[in-house]
Amino acid sequence: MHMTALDIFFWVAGFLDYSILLVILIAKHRARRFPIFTSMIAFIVCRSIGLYFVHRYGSDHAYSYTYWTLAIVDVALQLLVLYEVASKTFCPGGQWAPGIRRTFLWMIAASVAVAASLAWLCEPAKRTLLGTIALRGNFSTSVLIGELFVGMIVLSVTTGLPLRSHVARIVQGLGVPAIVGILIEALQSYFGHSRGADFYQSMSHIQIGINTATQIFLIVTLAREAPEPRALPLQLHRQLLHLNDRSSLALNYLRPRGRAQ
Amino acid sequence: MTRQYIFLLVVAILVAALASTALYYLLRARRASKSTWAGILARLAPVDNRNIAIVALDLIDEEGNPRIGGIPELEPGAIWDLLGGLNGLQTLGANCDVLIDLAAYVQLWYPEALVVAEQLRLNAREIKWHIERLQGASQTGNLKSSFPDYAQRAAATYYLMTRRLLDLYASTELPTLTDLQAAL
Repeated sequence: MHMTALDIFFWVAGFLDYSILLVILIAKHRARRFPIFTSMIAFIVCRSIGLYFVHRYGSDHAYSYTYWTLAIVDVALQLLVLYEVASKTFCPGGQWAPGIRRTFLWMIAASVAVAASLAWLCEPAKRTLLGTIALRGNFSTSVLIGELFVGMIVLSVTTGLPLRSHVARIVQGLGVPAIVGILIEALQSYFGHSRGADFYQSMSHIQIGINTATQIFLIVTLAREAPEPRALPLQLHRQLLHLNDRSSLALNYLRPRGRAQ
Repeated sequence: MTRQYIFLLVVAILVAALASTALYYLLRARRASKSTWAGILARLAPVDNRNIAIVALDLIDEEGNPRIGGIPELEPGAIWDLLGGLNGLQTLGANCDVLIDLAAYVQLWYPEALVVAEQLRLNAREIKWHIERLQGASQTGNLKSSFPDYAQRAAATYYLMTRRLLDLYASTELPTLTDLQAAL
Protein backbone atom coordinates (compact mmCIF):
# COMPACT_ATOMS: atom_id res chain seq x y z
CA MET A 1 0.00 0.00 0.00
CA HIS A 2 1.53 3.24 -1.18
CA MET A 3 1.50 6.27 1.12
CA THR A 4 1.63 9.78 -0.35
CA ALA A 5 3.38 12.72 1.29
CA LEU A 6 -0.04 13.98 2.43
CA ASP A 7 -0.83 10.60 4.00
CA ILE A 8 2.45 10.71 5.92
CA PHE A 9 1.82 14.32 6.99
CA PHE A 10 -1.63 13.47 8.37
CA TRP A 11 -0.27 10.37 10.06
CA VAL A 12 2.54 12.31 11.79
CA ALA A 13 0.21 15.20 12.73
CA GLY A 14 -2.36 12.80 14.18
CA PHE A 15 0.25 10.87 16.09
CA LEU A 16 1.77 14.05 17.56
CA ASP A 17 -1.66 15.43 18.50
CA TYR A 18 -2.69 12.31 20.36
CA SER A 19 0.73 12.03 22.04
CA ILE A 20 0.58 15.65 23.25
CA LEU A 21 -2.99 15.12 24.47
CA LEU A 22 -1.88 12.04 26.40
CA VAL A 23 0.96 13.99 28.02
CA ILE A 24 -1.48 16.78 28.95
CA LEU A 25 -3.94 14.30 30.48
CA ILE A 26 -1.21 12.73 32.62
CA ALA A 27 0.74 15.89 33.49
CA LYS A 28 -2.37 17.85 34.43
CA HIS A 29 -3.79 14.93 36.45
CA ARG A 30 -6.86 14.66 34.21
CA ALA A 31 -6.18 10.91 33.90
CA ARG A 32 -7.47 10.37 37.44
CA ARG A 33 -10.79 12.00 36.61
CA PHE A 34 -11.10 10.52 33.12
CA PRO A 35 -9.35 7.13 33.24
CA ILE A 36 -11.29 5.61 30.32
CA PHE A 37 -10.80 8.65 28.10
CA THR A 38 -7.07 8.62 28.92
CA SER A 39 -6.94 4.89 28.15
CA MET A 40 -8.57 5.54 24.79
CA ILE A 41 -6.02 8.22 23.89
CA ALA A 42 -3.16 5.91 25.02
CA PHE A 43 -4.67 3.14 22.91
CA ILE A 44 -4.80 5.42 19.83
CA VAL A 45 -1.12 6.37 20.29
CA CYS A 46 -0.13 2.69 20.62
CA ARG A 47 -2.35 1.80 17.65
CA SER A 48 -0.62 4.38 15.45
CA ILE A 49 2.80 2.93 16.34
CA GLY A 50 1.60 -0.65 15.88
CA LEU A 51 -0.03 0.06 12.51
CA TYR A 52 3.11 1.85 11.34
CA PHE A 53 5.23 -1.25 11.95
CA VAL A 54 2.63 -3.60 10.43
CA HIS A 55 2.44 -1.33 7.39
CA ARG A 56 6.21 -1.21 7.06
CA TYR A 57 7.07 -4.83 7.71
CA GLY A 58 3.79 -6.78 7.23
CA SER A 59 1.57 -7.63 4.27
CA ASP A 60 -1.49 -5.72 3.08
CA HIS A 61 -3.67 -8.48 4.48
CA ALA A 62 -1.97 -8.26 7.90
CA TYR A 63 -2.42 -4.49 7.88
CA SER A 64 -6.11 -4.74 6.97
CA TYR A 65 -6.72 -7.42 9.61
CA THR A 66 -4.89 -5.43 12.32
CA TYR A 67 -6.63 -2.18 11.32
CA TRP A 68 -10.16 -3.58 11.53
CA THR A 69 -9.48 -5.54 14.71
CA LEU A 70 -8.20 -2.41 16.43
CA ALA A 71 -11.15 -0.45 15.01
CA ILE A 72 -13.49 -2.69 17.02
CA VAL A 73 -11.50 -1.94 20.19
CA ASP A 74 -11.63 1.76 19.32
CA VAL A 75 -15.44 1.71 19.03
CA ALA A 76 -15.75 -0.18 22.33
CA LEU A 77 -13.53 2.44 24.02
CA GLN A 78 -15.55 5.31 22.54
CA LEU A 79 -18.73 3.80 23.98
CA LEU A 80 -17.02 3.41 27.35
CA VAL A 81 -15.88 7.05 27.22
CA LEU A 82 -19.48 7.99 26.55
CA TYR A 83 -20.50 6.06 29.65
CA GLU A 84 -17.73 7.77 31.63
CA VAL A 85 -18.84 11.30 30.74
CA ALA A 86 -22.51 10.34 31.16
CA SER A 87 -21.85 9.02 34.65
CA LYS A 88 -20.04 12.25 35.57
CA THR A 89 -23.02 14.28 34.39
CA PHE A 90 -26.05 12.19 35.28
CA CYS A 91 -24.87 10.75 38.61
CA PRO A 92 -24.66 13.97 40.63
CA GLY A 93 -25.03 12.25 43.99
CA GLY A 94 -22.89 9.23 43.15
CA GLN A 95 -25.80 7.30 41.62
CA TRP A 96 -27.97 7.83 38.56
CA ALA A 97 -30.44 10.67 39.00
CA PRO A 98 -34.00 9.25 39.16
CA GLY A 99 -35.61 8.96 35.75
CA ILE A 100 -32.39 9.67 33.87
CA ARG A 101 -31.19 6.10 33.56
CA ARG A 102 -34.43 4.98 31.96
CA THR A 103 -34.38 7.89 29.50
CA PHE A 104 -30.73 7.18 28.75
CA LEU A 105 -31.48 3.50 28.04
CA TRP A 106 -34.35 4.48 25.75
CA MET A 107 -31.99 6.85 23.97
CA ILE A 108 -29.46 4.03 23.47
CA ALA A 109 -32.18 1.68 22.16
CA ALA A 110 -33.47 4.32 19.71
CA SER A 111 -29.92 5.12 18.54
CA VAL A 112 -29.15 1.43 17.96
CA ALA A 113 -32.40 1.04 16.00
CA VAL A 114 -31.64 4.05 13.77
CA ALA A 115 -28.03 2.94 13.25
CA ALA A 116 -29.14 -0.61 12.36
CA SER A 117 -31.83 0.67 9.97
CA LEU A 118 -29.35 2.88 8.15
CA ALA A 119 -26.79 0.08 7.98
CA TRP A 120 -29.48 -2.11 6.40
CA LEU A 121 -30.43 0.63 3.92
CA CYS A 122 -26.80 1.15 2.96
CA GLU A 123 -25.51 -0.91 0.04
CA PRO A 124 -21.73 -0.57 0.15
CA ALA A 125 -19.99 -0.44 -3.20
CA LYS A 126 -17.38 -2.92 -1.91
CA ARG A 127 -17.27 -6.19 -3.81
CA THR A 128 -15.86 -8.43 -1.08
CA LEU A 129 -17.85 -9.73 1.89
CA LEU A 130 -15.24 -8.50 4.39
CA GLY A 131 -15.22 -5.04 2.81
CA THR A 132 -19.02 -4.86 2.92
CA ILE A 133 -19.17 -5.92 6.57
CA ALA A 134 -16.38 -3.49 7.47
CA LEU A 135 -18.05 -0.53 5.75
CA ARG A 136 -21.49 -1.31 7.15
CA GLY A 137 -20.07 -1.83 10.64
CA ASN A 138 -17.97 1.32 10.46
CA PHE A 139 -20.91 3.37 9.24
CA SER A 140 -23.38 2.09 11.83
CA THR A 141 -20.96 2.71 14.71
CA SER A 142 -20.37 6.28 13.47
CA VAL A 143 -24.14 6.82 13.44
CA LEU A 144 -24.54 5.27 16.90
CA ILE A 145 -21.76 7.31 18.51
CA GLY A 146 -22.88 10.54 16.82
CA GLU A 147 -26.46 10.05 17.98
CA LEU A 148 -25.47 9.17 21.54
CA PHE A 149 -23.23 12.20 21.95
CA VAL A 150 -25.94 14.54 20.65
CA GLY A 151 -28.53 12.77 22.82
CA MET A 152 -26.36 13.27 25.86
CA ILE A 153 -26.05 17.00 25.19
CA VAL A 154 -29.84 17.28 24.80
CA LEU A 155 -30.49 15.24 27.94
CA SER A 156 -28.09 17.28 30.03
CA VAL A 157 -29.71 20.59 28.99
CA THR A 158 -33.32 19.43 29.30
CA THR A 159 -32.87 17.75 32.68
CA GLY A 160 -30.90 20.62 34.22
CA LEU A 161 -27.76 18.56 34.82
CA PRO A 162 -25.09 20.68 33.13
CA LEU A 163 -21.97 19.27 31.51
CA ARG A 164 -19.06 20.64 33.54
CA SER A 165 -16.19 22.39 31.77
CA HIS A 166 -13.80 19.50 30.94
CA VAL A 167 -16.62 16.98 30.46
CA ALA A 168 -18.30 19.36 27.99
CA ARG A 169 -15.05 19.77 26.03
CA ILE A 170 -14.61 15.98 25.76
CA VAL A 171 -18.19 15.58 24.55
CA GLN A 172 -17.66 18.28 21.92
CA GLY A 173 -14.25 16.88 20.95
CA LEU A 174 -15.69 13.41 20.31
CA GLY A 175 -19.16 14.37 19.09
CA VAL A 176 -18.16 16.71 16.24
CA PRO A 177 -15.88 14.21 14.41
CA ALA A 178 -18.50 11.49 14.95
CA ILE A 179 -21.21 13.55 13.21
CA VAL A 180 -18.89 14.49 10.33
CA GLY A 181 -17.85 10.84 10.22
CA ILE A 182 -21.45 9.76 9.49
CA LEU A 183 -21.49 11.82 6.29
CA ILE A 184 -18.02 10.73 5.21
CA GLU A 185 -18.69 7.06 5.90
CA ALA A 186 -21.96 7.33 3.96
CA LEU A 187 -20.21 8.84 0.95
CA GLN A 188 -17.47 6.21 1.14
CA SER A 189 -20.10 3.47 1.40
CA TYR A 190 -22.06 4.91 -1.51
CA PHE A 191 -19.18 5.45 -3.89
CA GLY A 192 -16.68 2.91 -2.55
CA HIS A 193 -13.75 2.92 -4.97
CA SER A 194 -16.00 3.48 -8.00
CA ARG A 195 -14.80 7.07 -8.25
CA GLY A 196 -11.23 5.94 -7.91
CA ALA A 197 -8.93 5.66 -4.92
CA ASP A 198 -8.39 9.43 -4.91
CA PHE A 199 -11.99 10.18 -3.89
CA TYR A 200 -11.87 7.57 -1.14
CA GLN A 201 -8.55 8.98 0.11
CA SER A 202 -9.83 12.56 -0.03
CA MET A 203 -12.75 11.62 2.20
CA SER A 204 -10.33 9.95 4.62
CA HIS A 205 -8.13 13.06 4.62
CA ILE A 206 -11.12 15.27 5.46
CA GLN A 207 -12.00 12.98 8.37
CA ILE A 208 -8.39 12.91 9.62
CA GLY A 209 -8.18 16.71 9.25
CA ILE A 210 -11.29 17.19 11.39
CA ASN A 211 -9.99 14.68 13.93
CA THR A 212 -6.69 16.60 14.10
CA ALA A 213 -8.49 19.92 14.59
CA THR A 214 -10.59 18.50 17.42
CA GLN A 215 -7.48 17.02 19.05
CA ILE A 216 -5.89 20.48 19.04
CA PHE A 217 -9.12 21.83 20.58
CA LEU A 218 -8.94 19.16 23.30
CA ILE A 219 -5.24 19.82 23.96
CA VAL A 220 -5.90 23.53 24.47
CA THR A 221 -9.06 23.17 26.56
CA LEU A 222 -7.89 20.28 28.73
CA ALA A 223 -4.58 22.03 29.43
CA ARG A 224 -6.53 24.90 31.00
CA GLU A 225 -7.69 24.56 34.58
CA ALA A 226 -11.41 24.42 35.34
CA PRO A 227 -12.80 27.36 37.35
CA GLU A 228 -11.78 27.04 40.99
CA PRO A 229 -14.75 26.17 43.24
CA ARG A 230 -15.22 27.79 46.64
CA ALA A 231 -15.14 25.61 49.73
CA LEU A 232 -18.51 24.91 51.28
CA PRO A 233 -18.57 26.20 54.88
CA LEU A 234 -19.38 23.53 57.49
CA GLN A 235 -22.36 25.49 58.80
CA LEU A 236 -23.88 25.73 55.33
CA HIS A 237 -23.28 22.03 54.75
CA ARG A 238 -25.16 21.15 57.95
CA GLN A 239 -28.01 23.43 57.02
CA LEU A 240 -28.26 21.92 53.55
CA LEU A 241 -28.47 18.43 55.03
CA HIS A 242 -31.16 19.63 57.44
CA LEU A 243 -33.14 21.21 54.62
CA ASN A 244 -32.98 18.02 52.59
CA ASP A 245 -34.22 15.95 55.51
CA ARG A 246 -37.16 18.29 56.01
CA SER A 247 -37.94 18.30 52.32
CA SER A 248 -37.87 14.50 52.08
CA LEU A 249 -40.29 14.23 54.99
CA ALA A 250 -42.63 16.75 53.39
CA LEU A 251 -42.54 15.02 50.02
CA ASN A 252 -43.32 11.66 51.61
CA TYR A 253 -46.44 13.24 52.99
CA LEU A 254 -47.34 14.99 49.75
CA ARG A 255 -47.04 11.94 47.53
CA PRO A 256 -50.29 10.11 46.79
CA ARG A 257 -50.64 6.81 48.61
CA GLY A 258 -49.09 3.80 46.95
CA ARG A 259 -46.75 5.85 44.79
CA ALA A 260 -43.11 4.72 44.85
CA GLN A 261 -40.62 7.25 46.18
CA MET B 1 -29.90 2.72 -7.38
CA THR B 2 -33.04 4.29 -5.94
CA ARG B 3 -32.33 2.69 -2.57
CA GLN B 4 -28.90 4.28 -2.53
CA TYR B 5 -30.36 7.71 -3.25
CA ILE B 6 -32.82 7.23 -0.40
CA PHE B 7 -29.92 6.16 1.80
CA LEU B 8 -27.91 9.30 1.01
CA LEU B 9 -30.99 11.49 1.51
CA VAL B 10 -31.76 9.92 4.90
CA VAL B 11 -28.13 10.28 5.99
CA ALA B 12 -28.08 13.94 4.90
CA ILE B 13 -31.27 14.61 6.89
CA LEU B 14 -29.90 12.76 9.93
CA VAL B 15 -26.59 14.65 9.86
CA ALA B 16 -28.38 17.99 9.44
CA ALA B 17 -30.74 17.13 12.31
CA LEU B 18 -27.92 15.99 14.60
CA ALA B 19 -25.71 18.98 13.80
CA SER B 20 -28.51 21.54 14.26
CA THR B 21 -29.76 19.87 17.45
CA ALA B 22 -26.26 19.73 18.93
CA LEU B 23 -25.62 23.36 17.99
CA TYR B 24 -28.93 24.54 19.43
CA TYR B 25 -28.46 22.76 22.76
CA LEU B 26 -24.77 23.67 23.05
CA LEU B 27 -25.68 27.34 22.54
CA ARG B 28 -28.50 26.98 25.07
CA ALA B 29 -26.08 25.42 27.58
CA ARG B 30 -23.58 28.19 26.90
CA ARG B 31 -26.22 30.87 27.44
CA ALA B 32 -27.30 29.19 30.68
CA SER B 33 -23.72 29.05 31.96
CA LYS B 34 -23.29 32.77 31.24
CA SER B 35 -26.68 33.80 32.61
CA THR B 36 -26.73 36.65 35.03
CA TRP B 37 -28.70 36.59 38.23
CA ALA B 38 -31.05 39.28 36.92
CA GLY B 39 -31.50 37.40 33.65
CA ILE B 40 -32.66 34.23 35.39
CA LEU B 41 -34.97 36.14 37.71
CA ALA B 42 -36.55 37.92 34.74
CA ARG B 43 -37.82 34.54 33.50
CA LEU B 44 -39.99 33.99 36.58
CA ALA B 45 -43.63 34.26 35.53
CA PRO B 46 -45.79 36.28 37.93
CA VAL B 47 -47.83 34.18 40.37
CA ASP B 48 -49.83 35.17 43.42
CA ASN B 49 -47.59 33.81 46.15
CA ARG B 50 -50.07 34.65 48.90
CA ASN B 51 -52.66 32.38 47.24
CA ILE B 52 -50.10 29.60 46.85
CA ALA B 53 -49.19 29.92 50.52
CA ILE B 54 -52.90 29.70 51.48
CA VAL B 55 -53.35 26.51 49.43
CA ALA B 56 -50.06 24.98 50.64
CA LEU B 57 -50.54 25.86 54.32
CA ASP B 58 -53.94 24.19 54.21
CA LEU B 59 -52.01 20.94 53.71
CA ILE B 60 -48.66 21.48 55.50
CA ASP B 61 -46.99 23.87 57.93
CA GLU B 62 -44.11 26.19 57.01
CA GLU B 63 -41.58 23.45 57.77
CA GLY B 64 -43.26 20.95 55.46
CA ASN B 65 -44.83 18.85 58.21
CA PRO B 66 -48.50 17.79 58.03
CA ARG B 67 -50.66 20.66 59.23
CA ILE B 68 -51.87 20.49 62.81
CA GLY B 69 -55.56 19.64 62.74
CA GLY B 70 -55.27 16.99 60.09
CA ILE B 71 -57.76 17.21 57.23
CA PRO B 72 -57.40 20.05 54.67
CA GLU B 73 -60.25 22.53 54.90
CA LEU B 74 -60.23 24.31 51.54
CA GLU B 75 -63.05 23.41 49.17
CA PRO B 76 -62.10 22.19 45.64
CA GLY B 77 -63.62 25.29 44.05
CA ALA B 78 -61.60 27.58 46.33
CA ILE B 79 -58.36 25.77 45.45
CA TRP B 80 -59.20 26.06 41.75
CA ASP B 81 -59.76 29.83 42.07
CA LEU B 82 -56.72 30.46 44.29
CA LEU B 83 -54.31 28.68 41.94
CA GLY B 84 -55.80 30.08 38.74
CA GLY B 85 -56.88 26.71 37.36
CA LEU B 86 -54.76 24.57 35.09
CA ASN B 87 -53.01 27.60 33.56
CA GLY B 88 -51.93 28.74 37.00
CA LEU B 89 -50.51 25.33 37.73
CA GLN B 90 -48.63 25.26 34.44
CA THR B 91 -47.09 28.60 35.35
CA LEU B 92 -45.87 27.03 38.60
CA GLY B 93 -44.31 24.24 36.53
CA ALA B 94 -42.50 26.74 34.31
CA ASN B 95 -41.26 28.61 37.37
CA CYS B 96 -39.84 25.35 38.72
CA ASP B 97 -37.39 25.31 35.80
CA VAL B 98 -36.33 28.81 36.74
CA LEU B 99 -35.87 27.71 40.36
CA ILE B 100 -33.53 24.97 39.19
CA ASP B 101 -31.49 27.54 37.27
CA LEU B 102 -31.37 29.72 40.36
CA ALA B 103 -30.13 26.76 42.39
CA ALA B 104 -27.56 26.07 39.68
CA TYR B 105 -26.41 29.67 40.05
CA VAL B 106 -25.65 28.96 43.70
CA GLN B 107 -23.90 25.81 42.53
CA LEU B 108 -21.48 27.95 40.55
CA TRP B 109 -20.35 29.55 43.78
CA TYR B 110 -20.54 26.42 45.90
CA PRO B 111 -20.42 23.21 43.81
CA GLU B 112 -21.06 21.21 46.96
CA ALA B 113 -24.59 22.65 46.97
CA LEU B 114 -25.25 20.12 44.19
CA VAL B 115 -27.36 18.04 46.58
CA VAL B 116 -29.80 20.90 47.09
CA ALA B 117 -29.92 21.67 43.38
CA GLU B 118 -30.64 18.01 42.69
CA GLN B 119 -33.41 17.96 45.30
CA LEU B 120 -34.96 21.07 43.74
CA ARG B 121 -34.76 19.45 40.33
CA LEU B 122 -36.51 16.35 41.62
CA ASN B 123 -39.24 18.45 43.23
CA ALA B 124 -39.76 20.25 39.92
CA ARG B 125 -40.12 16.90 38.18
CA GLU B 126 -42.69 15.88 40.78
CA ILE B 127 -44.74 19.02 40.19
CA LYS B 128 -44.64 18.34 36.47
CA TRP B 129 -45.84 14.82 37.16
CA HIS B 130 -48.85 16.25 39.02
CA ILE B 131 -49.50 18.64 36.11
CA GLU B 132 -49.33 15.79 33.60
CA ARG B 133 -51.89 13.89 35.66
CA LEU B 134 -54.13 16.95 35.54
CA GLN B 135 -53.67 17.27 31.77
CA GLY B 136 -54.65 13.61 31.46
CA ALA B 137 -57.70 14.27 33.61
CA SER B 138 -58.68 17.25 31.45
CA GLN B 139 -58.66 14.98 28.38
CA THR B 140 -60.99 12.49 30.07
CA GLY B 141 -63.28 15.18 31.46
CA ASN B 142 -62.32 14.55 35.10
CA LEU B 143 -60.36 17.75 35.61
CA LYS B 144 -62.61 19.32 38.23
CA SER B 145 -62.54 16.26 40.49
CA SER B 146 -58.80 15.59 40.04
CA PHE B 147 -57.65 19.18 40.37
CA PRO B 148 -57.87 19.75 44.14
CA ASP B 149 -55.93 16.59 45.05
CA TYR B 150 -53.00 17.02 42.64
CA ALA B 151 -52.98 20.80 42.46
CA GLN B 152 -52.81 21.24 46.23
CA ARG B 153 -49.86 18.84 46.42
CA ALA B 154 -48.12 20.70 43.58
CA ALA B 155 -48.72 24.06 45.25
CA ALA B 156 -47.40 22.75 48.58
CA THR B 157 -44.28 21.34 46.89
CA TYR B 158 -43.71 24.64 45.07
CA TYR B 159 -44.13 26.47 48.34
CA LEU B 160 -41.53 24.23 50.02
CA MET B 161 -39.13 24.70 47.15
CA THR B 162 -39.27 28.46 47.39
CA ARG B 163 -38.75 28.32 51.17
CA ARG B 164 -35.75 26.03 50.73
CA LEU B 165 -34.27 28.29 48.12
CA LEU B 166 -34.65 31.37 50.30
CA ASP B 167 -33.00 29.49 53.18
CA LEU B 168 -30.17 28.49 50.88
CA TYR B 169 -29.57 32.04 49.69
CA ALA B 170 -29.72 33.34 53.23
CA SER B 171 -27.02 30.81 54.15
CA THR B 172 -24.71 31.69 51.27
CA GLU B 173 -25.01 35.41 51.97
CA LEU B 174 -25.20 36.30 48.32
CA PRO B 175 -26.04 39.98 47.84
CA THR B 176 -29.22 39.18 45.90
CA LEU B 177 -31.52 37.80 48.57
CA THR B 178 -33.79 40.85 48.49
CA ASP B 179 -34.35 40.43 44.76
CA LEU B 180 -35.17 36.76 45.24
CA GLN B 181 -37.61 37.42 48.06
CA ALA B 182 -39.34 40.01 45.91
CA ALA B 183 -39.55 37.64 42.93
CA LEU B 184 -40.82 34.67 44.93
